[in-house]
Amino acid sequence: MPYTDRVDYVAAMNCNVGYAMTVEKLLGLEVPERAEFLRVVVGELNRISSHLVAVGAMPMDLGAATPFMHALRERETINDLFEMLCGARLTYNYVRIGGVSFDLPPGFTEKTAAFLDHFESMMRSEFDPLISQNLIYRRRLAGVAPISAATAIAYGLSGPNLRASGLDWDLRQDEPYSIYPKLEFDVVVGTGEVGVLGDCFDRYAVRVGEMLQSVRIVRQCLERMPDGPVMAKVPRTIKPPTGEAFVRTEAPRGELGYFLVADGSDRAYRCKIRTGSFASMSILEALSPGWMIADLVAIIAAFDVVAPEIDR
Amino acid sequence: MDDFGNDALLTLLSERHPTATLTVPGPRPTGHQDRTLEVDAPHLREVCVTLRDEPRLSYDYLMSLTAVDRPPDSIEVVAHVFSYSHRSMLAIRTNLPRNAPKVPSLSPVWPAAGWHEREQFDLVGVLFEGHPDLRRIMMPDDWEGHPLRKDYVKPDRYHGIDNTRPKNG
Repeated sequence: MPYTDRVDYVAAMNCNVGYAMTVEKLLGLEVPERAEFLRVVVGELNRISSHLVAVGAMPMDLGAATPFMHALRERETINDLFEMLCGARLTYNYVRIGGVSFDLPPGFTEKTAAFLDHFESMMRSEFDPLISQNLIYRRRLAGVAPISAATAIAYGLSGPNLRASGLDWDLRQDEPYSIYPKLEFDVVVGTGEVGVLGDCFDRYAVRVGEMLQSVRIVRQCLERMPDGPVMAKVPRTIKPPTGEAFVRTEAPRGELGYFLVADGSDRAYRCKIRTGSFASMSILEALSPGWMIADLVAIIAAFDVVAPEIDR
Repeated sequence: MDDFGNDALLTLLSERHPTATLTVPGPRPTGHQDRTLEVDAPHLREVCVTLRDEPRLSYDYLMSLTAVDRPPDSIEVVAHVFSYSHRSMLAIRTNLPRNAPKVPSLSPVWPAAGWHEREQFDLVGVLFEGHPDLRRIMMPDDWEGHPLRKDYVKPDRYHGIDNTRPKNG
């Protein structure tokens, strides 16, 4: 499990969850409901902190350093929350096969609720006027490297990069897993509001919208969190029976798919991880000809790739 | 998709590709297995074109492509595809002889396969014939061997650089 933290160190919780779900599918294991709620809480908080890095680093890549500080300041609070929960600030190793490692510590719910309120108003009063409405920023992204939905699908783009091309597709709603069917949230898709559908600005705007949806999800989870155990009964050594499973989840950088081949031992015979960043980088060669070098910076930034997710 | 079951899939594909060897393996007696179609290597690409273009199938999205080394005799190539319009997932499996693992590239069918194939060529040593740019993607270009082969032995040195971890220190 700690290895999966390193698949995408900016969204380690989501990588933990995907791997745990794959092994659980091989085992036919049910996870206690409270653990599912906790997985969604940490997954969505991690989505916010991951998207904060994305929307903060984008203006920085384009030459505006200040917004990154604003974004990382907010992300700090989420790191604090995760530290309260599991002791780690980056590579959490929080999820376990069969549940999660710790229940909520005292004060976590209140602190999270306070952060969500603060975050929502910060996005509206500070982040949007400063960055989303910034004329230079908008012009650097508007109309740059638009991708049609069909091209996005052909190259295997997924997650925010796919939705930016206008396709209403989110595994949390369209192939629901965990407790997502019980939760209310909207899927944010690109609209071409300042340029062309599927351009770099759409990829940015989708992420901003998704953070606010994640706020809604976390609020609902905290309100409805049931009591109960956070771990299923699992043996000390887990030996999935011979078989294979492919499980994909909606991670911040697109679909995170684990293909796991089990041979009856306690180790994976073969594990392939399919990530959003890998697909995003593979389209660059076809996408970039004709654009300026400065645009290429915007294109890569807007895909929100994370290097370890590319080479895994 | 529920209304297009394994039998219907096999019938349709066998009609289109009478010379291809196609099977849909049943559930494993032991553990889990996703819905799978087995295709012989020579017919892989043409079957995949049908999977993509036939409106009742429309597998338009290649999610993942993996090679699994199964010594002593075979290497499996497994592609996971998905149809957005029918919301259906399928694993496509091909068995290759381990001493000559060659298979038609799927990059012309799904561009997404391009990098996955480079990765599997690099790590497992499968040759994807007709791939536009089959170079190593993870390891250095002059690396020897394919690290995810089960009999792979890690070299101690690379261009004079020590690869081993010092003991007790």
